Amino acid sequence: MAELKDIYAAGGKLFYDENGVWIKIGLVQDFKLKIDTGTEEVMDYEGAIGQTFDEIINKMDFSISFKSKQVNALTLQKMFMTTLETAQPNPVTDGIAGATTVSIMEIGAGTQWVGKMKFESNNNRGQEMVVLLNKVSLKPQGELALLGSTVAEMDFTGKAGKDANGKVGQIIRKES
Amino acid sequence: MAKKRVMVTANTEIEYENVKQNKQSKPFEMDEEIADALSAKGIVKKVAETPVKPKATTTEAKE
Repeated sequence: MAELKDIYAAGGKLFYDENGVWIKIGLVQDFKLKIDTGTEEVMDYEGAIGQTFDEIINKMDFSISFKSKQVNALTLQKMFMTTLETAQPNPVTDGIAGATTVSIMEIGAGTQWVGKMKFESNNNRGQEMVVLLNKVSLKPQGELALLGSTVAEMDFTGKAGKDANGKVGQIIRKES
Repeated sequence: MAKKRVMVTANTEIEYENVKQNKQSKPFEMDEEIADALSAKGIVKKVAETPVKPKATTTEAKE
């Protein structure tokens, strides 16, 4: 029987939604879906010593984290909250020669990315699993090594909130 | 809604109307509004419509 280790070993793809089209975020590493709960203890003081009677979950937060090792215009846009437009290169002002098209991203002039995300496990091995998240608010943080001896990667975390219908998302897993 | 023929340009993969498309895929049709938004970000590139082949001239059948 397939276990979750198969998904870990096989990997998968992470997509985000742009105008109703799923677009793959390239070379994603370490994608994690997390749950964080807040609890309240219910005490029983009827005996000689107060004892925990129950522990109630009164808060649930879902979040994701992933790293991307593909530094393309779309990941840079999300990491540094830039605007993004394509243009013809101007070697005099932008310093890029020999390109037919350039992407121009104004750092910090964009907005936080909020939208749908989808994770698809690799269907060549293990039991398939798809995770749909209806409203992820991305929180980029950290650094992008523009010079260095290791492959640059960008760290993202994000809250998986409820959409307008009050739904966080779905886990769809093939069982047979 | 008007359609536009597009190709994926970015080094990525997209899923449009449940079909996966990437840079190696053939041109496909996409709603014009979505094609405009994605081409502004360099994800897809609009390509010319397939030229309509002129009708083959036929020789009249001889009696």
